[in-house]
Amino acid sequence: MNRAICVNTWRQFKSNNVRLILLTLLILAPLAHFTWRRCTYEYDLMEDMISYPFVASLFALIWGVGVISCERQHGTISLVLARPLTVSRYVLSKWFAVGFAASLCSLQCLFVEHAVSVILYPPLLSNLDFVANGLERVILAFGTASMLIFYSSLVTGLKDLALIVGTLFAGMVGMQFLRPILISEVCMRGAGTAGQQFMTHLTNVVGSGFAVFFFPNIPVSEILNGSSAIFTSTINFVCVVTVCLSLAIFFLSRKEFSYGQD
Amino acid sequence: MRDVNAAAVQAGGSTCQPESASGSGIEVVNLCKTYKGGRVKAIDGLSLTVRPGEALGLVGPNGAGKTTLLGCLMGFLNYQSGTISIDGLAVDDLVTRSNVGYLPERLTFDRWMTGRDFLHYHHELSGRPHKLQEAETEELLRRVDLEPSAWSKPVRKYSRGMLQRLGFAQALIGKPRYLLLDEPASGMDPHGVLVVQELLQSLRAEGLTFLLNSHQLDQIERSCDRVAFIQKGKVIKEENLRDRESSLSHTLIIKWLLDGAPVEASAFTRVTAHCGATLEQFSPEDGLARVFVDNEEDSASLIKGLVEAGVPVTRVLPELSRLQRVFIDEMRRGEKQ
Repeated sequence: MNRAICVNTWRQFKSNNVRLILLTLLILAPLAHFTWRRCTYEYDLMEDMISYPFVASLFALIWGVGVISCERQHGTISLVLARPLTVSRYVLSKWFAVGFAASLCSLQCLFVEHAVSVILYPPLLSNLDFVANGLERVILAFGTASMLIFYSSLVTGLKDLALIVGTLFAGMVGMQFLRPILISEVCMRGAGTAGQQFMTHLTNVVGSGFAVFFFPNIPVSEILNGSSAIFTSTINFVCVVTVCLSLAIFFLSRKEFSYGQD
Repeated sequence: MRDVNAAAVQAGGSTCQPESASGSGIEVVNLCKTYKGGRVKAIDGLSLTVRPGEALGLVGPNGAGKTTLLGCLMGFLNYQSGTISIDGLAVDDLVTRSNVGYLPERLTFDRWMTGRDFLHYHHELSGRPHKLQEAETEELLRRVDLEPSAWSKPVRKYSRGMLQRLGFAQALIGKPRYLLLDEPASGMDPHGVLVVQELLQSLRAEGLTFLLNSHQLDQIERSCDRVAFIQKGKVIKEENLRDRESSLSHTLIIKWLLDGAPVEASAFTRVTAHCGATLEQFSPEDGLARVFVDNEEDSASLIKGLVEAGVPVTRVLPELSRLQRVFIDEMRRGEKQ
């Protein structure tokens, strides 16, 4: 990692008011939601009200959108890469900066939520569910950061956000509409049992791959409960992170850079 | 991930304290660079050598390929064929990068950064020791003559000239041995141009090797040892600016005092003809004449002859600087071809 690049990424973020407002809202929104639920007696005070680890992905999204692509658009990346620094080091530093910042924000959010629960019902202090939740958030933040870095290396400006939304939408459409059609009896007529099995298996694999790519996580709570396998989740997570970062390094290494607007 | 210092040791160099004039310089051999899938040839078989400690100027019309050449030298652009080496190493080698400073024509900045922050950032990226950061940054900001009151201002409040000065400081922050400058005085006020001029001369005195791309021919003439004329992606002529210009013919503007006795055209014509020069224009009411001479000896005998003939000569100036003349000649030749 390069300390200068990490610090510069955080300071860049600090100078962006829109992102700061979104960040504050994201920290406060779950807390406001739980307070409202408590006030309306929908939840018991004895419950530890903490949000899902998924929040970490949203924090990573706020931090990570345009992290490389905006530098490419403004041309500031060229001056950084003119220094004795490899593209891989640059990409890893950006990934770490986004992952670390998103983890820190989501953990802060978690601590505030847990603290409120403990204040309202002190015996919840001994509840250690939030530790697993926190760990999951950190993993998810770094996983999502790698996916964002990959998208950010492909385009310039904030087009990576459009690309993410587009891919997500296409994937959802594919899973909801195309998959049932592909494995329907009408479509599979004459394919035989083996063909039908193959098609079903293929669509399942594509669907799982899509979910893993957009939600790269190791479900710590489920692993602790024994409902999920640690090995498969870890392999999936490591694969997504490695592939995303490698592709980002590959694409950036092949790009030509110029000063000024790209 | 490659460690810069280890790579420097491997190459027998040092990243932090580079020597001023060692290594094998910059060598470009038969470089070809095209855009749009080969339809536009930006550089077409260009070869160039810059010896260590030498200052080379790049001159050519817009679109000749000068900035593309600098882009290739920095490793930002992928070229189709040819080789580029700096101190015998590839351009994307980390040791090369730590030895090369670059000032683009229009530098872009993170607008929220202050001038000092910007230099601190690049100081750290260059791998310079952290304890020297403050001292080296301030030294450079003073050297480029940036007002101390502006050091802590965000760069969005800087004028074009101030940004250019900051860019120049950025190019020097890593203590480079090679400097690639693309229009360093672009957008600067006259004082800024003088500061850049002084900087270039002091860098040359320090033995720094630099490649200067500029449309300001007088700047190149003052700062460079050699100049390469580039047209249509090729070096069409190289000129040593430190040679005596005895072989070059040129036009002189001769001015004399108007207060004294009137200067006769016949006397003037006689003297110029005697010296082998050609009188192109004679304006007694303005007190000036344009005379074409073949070489420096003819110039000397012309001035001597005019003084002896009683012409109260006040000034003898070349109509165009040497580089301007060569540039115009080469461009005309290129157009004819």
